[in-house]
Amino acid sequence: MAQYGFYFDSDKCTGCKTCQVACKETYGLPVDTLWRKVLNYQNGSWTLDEATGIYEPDNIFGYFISMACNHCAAPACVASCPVAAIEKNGDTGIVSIDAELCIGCGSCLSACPYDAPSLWEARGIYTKCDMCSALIAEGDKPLCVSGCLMRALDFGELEELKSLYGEGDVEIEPLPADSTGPSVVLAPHRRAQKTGEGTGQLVNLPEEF
Amino acid sequence: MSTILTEASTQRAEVSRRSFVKWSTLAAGSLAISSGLVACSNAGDTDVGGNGQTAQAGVWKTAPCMNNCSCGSSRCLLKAWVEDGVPTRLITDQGQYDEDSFEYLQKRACARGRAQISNTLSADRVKYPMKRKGWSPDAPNGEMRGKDEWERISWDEAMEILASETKKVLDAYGTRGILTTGYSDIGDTYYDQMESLLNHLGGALHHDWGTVSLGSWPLVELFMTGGLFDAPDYLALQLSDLHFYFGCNWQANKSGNTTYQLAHARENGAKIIIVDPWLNQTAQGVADEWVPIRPGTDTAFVLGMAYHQIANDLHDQAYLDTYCVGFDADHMPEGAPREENFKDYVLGTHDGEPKTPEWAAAISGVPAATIRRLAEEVAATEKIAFFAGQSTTKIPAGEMFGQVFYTFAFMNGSPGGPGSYASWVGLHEGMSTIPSVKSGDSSNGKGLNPTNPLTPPGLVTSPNWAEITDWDSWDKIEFSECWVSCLAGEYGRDVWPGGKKPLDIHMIYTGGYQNALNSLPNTLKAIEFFRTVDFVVGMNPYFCPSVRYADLVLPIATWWEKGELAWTNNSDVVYWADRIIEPLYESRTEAQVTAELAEALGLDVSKVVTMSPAEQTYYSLSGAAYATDTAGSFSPLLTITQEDIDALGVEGTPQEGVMTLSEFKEKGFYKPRRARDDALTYIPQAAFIADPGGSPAATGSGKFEIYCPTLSAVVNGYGFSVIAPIGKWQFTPDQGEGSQTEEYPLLLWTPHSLRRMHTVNDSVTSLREAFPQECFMSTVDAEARGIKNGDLVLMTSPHGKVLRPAKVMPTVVPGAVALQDGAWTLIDEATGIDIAGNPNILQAPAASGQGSQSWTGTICQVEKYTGDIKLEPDKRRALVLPRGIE
Repeated sequence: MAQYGFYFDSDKCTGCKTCQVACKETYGLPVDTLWRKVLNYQNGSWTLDEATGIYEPDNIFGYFISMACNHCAAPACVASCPVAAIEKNGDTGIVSIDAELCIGCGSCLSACPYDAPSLWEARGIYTKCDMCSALIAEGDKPLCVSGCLMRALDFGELEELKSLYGEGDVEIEPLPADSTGPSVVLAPHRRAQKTGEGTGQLVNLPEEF
Repeated sequence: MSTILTEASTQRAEVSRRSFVKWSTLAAGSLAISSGLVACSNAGDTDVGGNGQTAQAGVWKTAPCMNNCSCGSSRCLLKAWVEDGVPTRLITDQGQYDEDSFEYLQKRACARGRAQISNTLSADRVKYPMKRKGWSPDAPNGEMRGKDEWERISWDEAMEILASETKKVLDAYGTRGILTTGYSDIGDTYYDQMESLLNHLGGALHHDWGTVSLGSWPLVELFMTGGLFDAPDYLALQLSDLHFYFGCNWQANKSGNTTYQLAHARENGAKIIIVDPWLNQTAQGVADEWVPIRPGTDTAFVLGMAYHQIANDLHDQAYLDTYCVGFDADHMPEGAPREENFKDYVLGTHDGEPKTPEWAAAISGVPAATIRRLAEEVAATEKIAFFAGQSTTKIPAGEMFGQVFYTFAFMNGSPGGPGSYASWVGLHEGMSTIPSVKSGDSSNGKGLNPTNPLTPPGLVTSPNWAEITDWDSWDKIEFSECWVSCLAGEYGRDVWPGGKKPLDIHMIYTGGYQNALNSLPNTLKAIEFFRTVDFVVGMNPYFCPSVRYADLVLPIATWWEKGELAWTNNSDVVYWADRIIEPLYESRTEAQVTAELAEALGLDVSKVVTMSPAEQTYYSLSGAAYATDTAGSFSPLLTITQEDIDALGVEGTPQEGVMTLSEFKEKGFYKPRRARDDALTYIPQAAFIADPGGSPAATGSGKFEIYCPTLSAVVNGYGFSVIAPIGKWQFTPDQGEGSQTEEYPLLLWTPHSLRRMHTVNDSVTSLREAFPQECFMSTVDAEARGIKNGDLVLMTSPHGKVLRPAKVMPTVVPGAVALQDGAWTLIDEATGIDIAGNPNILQAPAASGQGSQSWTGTICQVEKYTGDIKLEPDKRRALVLPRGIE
């Protein structure tokens, strides 16, 4: 069996959200439904120098994480679904939700460490990234990848991505500790903080998600 | 078309498909808001009913992104899948044609481009001709503009009203009685034949002195260096060791490939330093170091670095001696006072104020130690690309930052051949003097368009006093002060050769994709002025703020509904633009409206609408060309046969190029395949650097002019500012650092948003969701005010109030707040607060220098909002639609 995965280079990403918007526009996702989203994590503080009246920056940095469903090796959503609507494909490793079976209970969202499943309110179901299955079946790449302005995203067989880009590290803030084996090679930003050692915060407004 | 493209289209079956019926009925079930305008939810406007439908036969069309991205560096490729005349999905340049190598980059579109179906089919398109209910020819009832209901009328009735009202004003006041809210440079994208009509009748009266874009740069570059819009191309940009950039957020304002080109330089070992009030998206992605700085204080910061270099003999004296005049007392031009040299100003020799790093730190907020370290790093680096964004000179007397910027670059050997640059354009782009490729002239290929008799002889975007012989012959309103000038009935300064100029405006024409009420400073004064005149006609595809305050509104076709042109606004690609859809609802083109108006006014239509659509197509194709060197040699791009010409039904001459017409239309674009050190590699000022004696700079002295008396004489002659022949820091009492008061303790700056390009795209839900219109503020200032991320805050300046959610970030410099440009004003009539967050509500009418708006550093206050207005998130905020129109 193959396992497809994403590569993401946080050291290049500028948070332009072309990936997110191209996906939404192409698949006609309504407001609040996101199959890929971009997190902005920022750190740092300012110290007033009383003598000069100047605020001196202290360890200020920020970076972006573009994240869709990670089509995990051990997908928590599959295990959580009470109606067995979520399946991991044996040939591709792609995890997908069957819209016909989904009852919209939200167990998958609660279980997913990456908040990947997204409610499509009008349809009363949870939906998510399927890696543009129809496109990749034809040898193309997912829209977010082929549209990335910074060439910070890639797609392929996970093992090939690792040989091309290295192992990466998914345990960086603001992402959680790895509990599901996400199929993503994440090249951390040059200033990234390790998961659990973070001193910064997510600055996106709630309305961005 | 490649298989990938064709087969990708089968995705459509699983993809939502908008139907015309769906969105044309969106106006129903709307809810009123206090402005008296009508709104409908823009959320959930996608039709999910398409699910499960079988994909129908469709066709890929080329829909290049004509969003007005800043200045033409990044117009990108879009291909639209069109079924039954409806565009249903877009893709970009993503591997279906060619590889994506750095020498042959795919032209990938950003989020704004990818949302163009939603934008073009937006529910807030103007659908029908309509007139304001409270308006009549004899009783305009102007105070109801922006509050009144609307009434759908026929095109015949609309044209009768337009013709009779136009005639009334023309008969009484001539064309100077009509304010044409646009620029007079009629170009391909904005081609508006209505301006030709007004030019033909005596001249369109524009607010086009200066630009809202270029800041104070053009005359600085022209007089100090002899160049204009000079910048390396993107391959030449790769040759620098250090990119030292001021005010650079290319990801927002030159999206597409530009930031990637910078990232590529970094990957190959270059270092990138960005000086900006916030750690913007570009800096988070690609900068090695961010230098936080208070808005509008770059001049002092650079002077502090210059001091440290001079005091420690770190600067390149040999370069200054060879290429420059005015740096020190020994190199002053003849006749100039020796003590007026730059070095002595920096050292404080005569004014007693050394511009030390401590002095600079107190103004800029950049610690003195940082200033010293950066000055040393610059001095120690061989090849530096200095760049400063246009906004860095959008401050009072902003020319002086330009002067200091170039002077500091000269002190460090830039421009100085491959890798050493000094530019405010950044890299070669559409407005560069010699682009790598160009399209033909679709707006004036026959050369018959009437020129504007009111346009004075000019110096880039400003009038040239020296060449004006008849003072009354010209008019050109300085745009920063446009609305207060219009209200006052005069504009200018007493020191002008003929004094201030009178204005007597009775009608406003807002068209040509312009949204001036929203786009110029002091929007509340714009609304006040709109309400005073006899008649306002708006021609726009969208119900934008400017047409909301009109009496008569005409639905105009978008670019996608015209098309059939070779087009570019970019240095390195020519696109074919298909017509993607037929004009929506009752939309017509400006050409159609103008021709009918011309006829009603008894004019010879051919003098006004000078080309047929087919002729526009032909000239855009026949004039398309590619550069063969960087000296201005071009060869025709397209092979056009007699059969092609006959098929278009135009007069023309067959020509030989490198691509047939059908190949061009099929592929949709041409871009040159580049190579390192190829003939298109552009190194600014190369001839002068190589041979300063034999190829002098195109300045008065033949050298780069650190002391530039021509610049100061010309700029000071306009009376908006007083600048010196050398760059200096200047304190301004009512704006910028040092002018803060207890009431207004913060400095505002207004960066571009990734949601809009200037004022377009503001109604697109997916972009609103991605990029809410926020008040960016520092954790320091937020904590001091008890403001948390997401809290509603009231932003107040001496000129107005806006209500927005705060985005509190450690990555914003303390003492400064930002509100991104272009949001569509929506006034809550009960309180006068703009609830959409247009920064021009806060901006002062502050003309400066050569006629540049000083947007940056407006004093303001931000406080936690405690009033009664509730704000929905932007993505759920209602679109504004005309009340009374189904």
